[in-house]
Amino acid sequence: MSTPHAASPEVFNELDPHGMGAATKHSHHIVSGMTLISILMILLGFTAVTVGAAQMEKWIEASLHYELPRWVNVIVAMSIATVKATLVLMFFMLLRFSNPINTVVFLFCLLAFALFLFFTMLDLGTRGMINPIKAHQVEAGGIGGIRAGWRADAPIINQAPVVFWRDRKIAAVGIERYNELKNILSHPHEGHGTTPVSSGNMSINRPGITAGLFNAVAPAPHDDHAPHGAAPHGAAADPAHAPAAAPATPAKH
Amino acid sequence: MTTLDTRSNPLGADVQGGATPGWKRYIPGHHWRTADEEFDACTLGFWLFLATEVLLFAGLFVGYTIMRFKFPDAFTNGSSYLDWRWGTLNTVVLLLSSYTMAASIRAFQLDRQKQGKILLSATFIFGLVFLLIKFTFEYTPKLSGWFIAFDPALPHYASLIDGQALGGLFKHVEGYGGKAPGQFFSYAFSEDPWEPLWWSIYYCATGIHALHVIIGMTLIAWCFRRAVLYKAYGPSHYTMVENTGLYWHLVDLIWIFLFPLLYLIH
Repeated sequence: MSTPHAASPEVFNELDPHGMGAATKHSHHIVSGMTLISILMILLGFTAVTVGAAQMEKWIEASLHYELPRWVNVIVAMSIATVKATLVLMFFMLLRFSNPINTVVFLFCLLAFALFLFFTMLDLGTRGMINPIKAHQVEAGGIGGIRAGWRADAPIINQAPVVFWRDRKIAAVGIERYNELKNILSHPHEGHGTTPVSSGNMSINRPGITAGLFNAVAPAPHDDHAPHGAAPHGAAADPAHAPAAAPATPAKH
Repeated sequence: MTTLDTRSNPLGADVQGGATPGWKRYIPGHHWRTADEEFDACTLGFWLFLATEVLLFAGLFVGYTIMRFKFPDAFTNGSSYLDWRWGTLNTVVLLLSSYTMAASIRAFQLDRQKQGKILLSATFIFGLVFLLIKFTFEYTPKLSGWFIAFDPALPHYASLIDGQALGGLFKHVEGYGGKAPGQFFSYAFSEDPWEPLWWSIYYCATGIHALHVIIGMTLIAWCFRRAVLYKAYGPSHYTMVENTGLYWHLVDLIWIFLFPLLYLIH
């Protein structure tokens, strides 16, 4: 009989009476101290690289007056982070030495994450596409119901909190003092180097609050039967677009 | 995680004077054929749990992606309030702690009890340092405007100090605070209307991460206690300290991605 049940008495293991544990028997891997130290050093090195790369990108933008595409920053940082994460997983979390099923579990988890991210990006990336047939149903959004603060009885301000708190501070301390404060506070020591400014050779986007952005009122619902030549949507509410729209209207007729 | 089983729990009569270390007295659960099988099953179970943890953070990362995609300027601006040097220091601290954790598992595998305990406490201390940096130099000033007196950023705002507390240990800088998430936001000098969104993402991501650091530190403290009380871990049995290590490395793993995404964007 060569079945596992016929284990001979001298090798009989009380904890493994059927001799089936032999299949799963393995020695626990002990990572060498040198490996651990080396991995730590590599991880610290990559940390320096990722910080250096970010500083380098800023330096390039500031001194060469060249604006790098936004994705460069993300791709470089995420690639380095992925390498670091792989090292941690393989050597610190012992995936390289442990039961392969653990790696399978983790990879399926990453697959779920990838699906999550992929379909979200698919949606986000096509938000700007409006089917021409449906275009007339699209209406301006709004930011109604915003309160100043977290309390339920805080006043409804119906404007961006950023604007509300800015105006309140200006009202409290006066515009001179506000600018004085802003001067010190908005050039934090932390700041990622100097902010490049637009020059004759290069125009750089300055993020900020577009004047009138939050004062816009929703346009009247579209009326298919309105007489031709009526002012286009939003022309009255959005003076910035009015000059562009005005010549277009007579041209149509 | 270790099954709480009166038969295999070494906290018994031996605690009072037994010389046999806990890891030698450990008997695997009766439903396992071998100790190795038990170890494998525990570790597999823990990896499944880690997968759910990754998916928890996946939600945050996807939220981050959506918001950064829609409001890139708010994120660039928001990130410029963070000091990349604190972020880098915290990354180094966490990497060191990951190393000491891995090294302590190695020490227990080799039955170097003292070394293992020292490395476990080092891991705990690194975790504590991480939290202290986060709360003292990052969260507190940004939320409230209160700086600790020796904050290296404070001299820059010397002209704006308008109050102090606890005998000058904390100093208040006018206008600095209020960088709070969402509806809590009340900072008056923002450059972008969507900055409250950035702060929501920032506090959610780092807050949940900090919570995991605290949980990991609790597990480490528990391992330490078991190691001190009855030498619970040794060459043939170290499941709990191994799984605690896996949890701790996951915390490090999450931070490896959070750090560039929050601190290094421009």
